[in-house]
Amino acid sequence: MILALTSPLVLTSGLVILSLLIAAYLWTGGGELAAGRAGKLLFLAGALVFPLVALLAGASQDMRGAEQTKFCLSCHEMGPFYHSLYVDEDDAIPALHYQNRYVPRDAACYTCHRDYTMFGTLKDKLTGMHHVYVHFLGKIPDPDKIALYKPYPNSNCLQCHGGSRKFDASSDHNSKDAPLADIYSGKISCGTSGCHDSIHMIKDLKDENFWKPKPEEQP
Amino acid sequence: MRRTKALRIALTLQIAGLILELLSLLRLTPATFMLFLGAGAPLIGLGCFIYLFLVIRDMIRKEVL
Repeated sequence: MILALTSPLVLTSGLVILSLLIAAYLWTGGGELAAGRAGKLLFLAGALVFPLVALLAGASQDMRGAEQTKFCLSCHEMGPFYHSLYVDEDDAIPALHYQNRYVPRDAACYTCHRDYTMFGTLKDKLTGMHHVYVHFLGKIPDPDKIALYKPYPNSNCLQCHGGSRKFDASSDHNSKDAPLADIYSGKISCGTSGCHDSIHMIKDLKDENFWKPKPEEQP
Repeated sequence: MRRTKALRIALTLQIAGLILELLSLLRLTPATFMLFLGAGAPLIGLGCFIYLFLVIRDMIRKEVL
């Protein structure tokens, strides 16, 4: 109970409610309140400090919330992509990662689809805003026509796999066709070079078998 | 009188922005997310700007600055 009360979401909501109450109080008091010294201080807190802190805390909370799998699934066109995470096939890369918890299930989309660069998070949030715009105001393509803006970068895979003993020692990653240096430099793509090309397989979903997790395994 | 009116406008903008923010915190969906970032945050920012503008103007008039 105490933990729930001190969660960032509850604290941020409390801060916003407090800011609202102070702003409403100042609104009813109007200019009379701003005449005295205490009133001026209250105005400084209620019309500047509290709203700004609440704005920053709320934006940070929303940004974190937007990284959740359930947020991505709020748009119905993402449904088949989520469904593909349950495909019962070892080659299906997203399903393999999701089912074996190689990525956190509650942030599965974001973990693999964010760019791991200096401004990656910012770029992804802007891309996400574009998705939201298209969802509400644009023409939504069919799920099998939805594609990445640019080829999936190896750096997203290497964020976790890079430097791992098993990955570096794998004979497939040290072959003549796919030398390790080329994988690290991005010269050879993990996803489109024919090695790990079973990605979401949206077109083939109807012919696939699906993993049925136990109720406690479900997110 | 104009100052009081300006303060009321600033507070009204902030209240509207904070309500949108609260909405997005209570139920985060792409719609509330966009409403908060696209409308709520600019409203709060504008409210703060108007308040700051009034304060700085007062300070200049009273020759504090």
